[in-house]
Amino acid sequence: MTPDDILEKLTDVFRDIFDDDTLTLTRETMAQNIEEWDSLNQIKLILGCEKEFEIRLKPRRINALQNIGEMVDHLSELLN
Amino acid sequence: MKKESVDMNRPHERLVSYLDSVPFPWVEGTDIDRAAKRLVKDSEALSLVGPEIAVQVLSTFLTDYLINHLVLMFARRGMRANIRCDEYGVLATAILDESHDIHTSPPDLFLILLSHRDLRFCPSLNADPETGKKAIVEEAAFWASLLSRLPAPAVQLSFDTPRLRPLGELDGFIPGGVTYHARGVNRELATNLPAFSTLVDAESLAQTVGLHNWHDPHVYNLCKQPFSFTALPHVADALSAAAIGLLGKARKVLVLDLDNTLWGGVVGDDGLEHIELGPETPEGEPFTTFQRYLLGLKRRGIVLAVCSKNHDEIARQPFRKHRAMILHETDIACFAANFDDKPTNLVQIAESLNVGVDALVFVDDNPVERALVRQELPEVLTIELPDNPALFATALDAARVFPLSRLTEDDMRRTDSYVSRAVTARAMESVSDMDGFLAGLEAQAIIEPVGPDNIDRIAQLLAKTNQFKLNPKVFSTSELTERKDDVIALRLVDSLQDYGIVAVAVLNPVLELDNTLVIENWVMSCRVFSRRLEYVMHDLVSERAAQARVGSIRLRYVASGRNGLVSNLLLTLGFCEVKNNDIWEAQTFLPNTAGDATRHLPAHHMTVVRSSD
Repeated sequence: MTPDDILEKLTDVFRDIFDDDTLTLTRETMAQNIEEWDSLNQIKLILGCEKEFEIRLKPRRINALQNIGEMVDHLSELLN
Repeated sequence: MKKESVDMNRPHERLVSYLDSVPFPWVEGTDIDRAAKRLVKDSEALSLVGPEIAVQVLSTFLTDYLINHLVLMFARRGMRANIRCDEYGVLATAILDESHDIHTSPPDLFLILLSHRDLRFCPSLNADPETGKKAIVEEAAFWASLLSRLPAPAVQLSFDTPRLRPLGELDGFIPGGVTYHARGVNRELATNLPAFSTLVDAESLAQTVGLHNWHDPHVYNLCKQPFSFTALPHVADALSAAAIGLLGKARKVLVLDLDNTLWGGVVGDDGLEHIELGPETPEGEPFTTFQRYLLGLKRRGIVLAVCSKNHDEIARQPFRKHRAMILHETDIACFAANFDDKPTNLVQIAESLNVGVDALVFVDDNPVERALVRQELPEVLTIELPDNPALFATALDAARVFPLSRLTEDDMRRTDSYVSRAVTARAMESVSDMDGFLAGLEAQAIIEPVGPDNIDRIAQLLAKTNQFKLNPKVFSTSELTERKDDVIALRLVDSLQDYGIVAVAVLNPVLELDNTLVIENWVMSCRVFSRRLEYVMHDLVSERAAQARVGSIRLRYVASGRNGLVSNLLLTLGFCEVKNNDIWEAQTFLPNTAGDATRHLPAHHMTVVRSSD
């Protein structure tokens, strides 16, 4: 799966969880850029990604990531 | 029939779209999460929901995800829930600490959420039955004692059963099993629940979604929620339904279509012999099952009515002549078969049963009829019946529209009372002499002493009555038991039937310095309106006041929007409002003495007696 594919799928997950079809993600996007991205939604994002990418994630690792770019890189490592 | 384009600029339309997306009952695959999220974020739409209720969640686990669903589920039932949930894990300390917020500024309702992980008296694996029983009793007593300290009505989630069973099949069958212990505790707790609490059966919820769908260890590890996200809407729905029942706001009447709802086919077209009903055929069996379920509802106090587009005589034929009919004419309190539109009929059914339109649940196989009722009478709860009749009963059951927190004798007798009243109403039409008619009923008003056999009914009447009620003040059963000498409970019996306890007044025994007897609250069931029982109660209260040599009677009347008829009565009885502050006073007189302000009241034609036990 290419990083672009990953970003696209990730965007689907975010759009579903934040109920916003216009939401766009860039590599620079961070938690503070999305208003409702709190610890409760973080858990939902982890679960959503696990389902979408069919993998298991480690919360400690995910919570340490700084932005979407790092998330895409991390997922890319796990998937390839 | 759904409108394709909803004007999203209008909050009311948005609210309707959120609520309509989760019908009664909803089907699997409905995106409840989306509806919940949107409603919670839309404060304009939320503000239109209805009366507000302050809800405090106390739990031993994370409930943050439950909140949105709770708001939606309360909104579907017409209440705007304002939910407080503190940090989880402080449940016991909050309840035991009298200075905690929950005691100093109590909510309208508590939701107490526990899981089997909170069981603290589980016996050892090899415990004998005696030890097991003791552990169950101790555990139930612990939780009942906590619950009894709550200063407001409470809905508690019962203990679920664990997914892990080291004892295998024995976990549910021997005293050392956690499953055995949990089930025993739930039963024991249910028997000893404090007044104004009720349980939601977590085991049944788990069965509804499937135990492997209820437990989700991955979710529990991530966020300490002891059930899956699949289970979440069911938990929220069951809790809100139970709360509605506990607060006395459950709907009371089920209005049924006939053709293709109570039997297969159209009796007017197919003829009596060709309608599908009865256990012999796959076509008839589902309707038999459905009727049996409806009869069960009727037996526990739900009033059944019929609303059918048929000639009256033809519609009644199956009830009278079809040998597979389970419901009889006498099970139906109000029978409306005609060719008027259903919304008009529903309004008239509500009127003749003396209830609000918002007390009705409507069941009809025809989606066009359902859509019309939804549109014209949104206060009526219209069940989304599936196409397959085999699923009618399960759909109605799953909708949770008739929550019940206590089953009382009066629940069991309710339809008889309505049917009898319908008969009475007809008889009255042809009797121009009301006094002669009332005298002919040979009614007795029986003063019942407060005791363990009627305390539930008395508390229920004080809590649930809406129309004849002075003010919102409620009383717990323990308070009523302690203050039984202050309580006047009246039972009405006449030649038609025994209505049970139908009127209660609670007096304040402390005679204020200004020489007044205070009625703290006074309720009367709408089933006995126009029987003049209120004059009997007034006489009894006046007697008390006169015996205590007290010069006047005082009460507090707060108009609730539903109890308007009380203000007329108060004027008739000689009360007048003091200073526009809801306080009303009247002079005391023994009935029929000189100076009796009420001697112009019509006679009530009842014999007043004290209960002989």
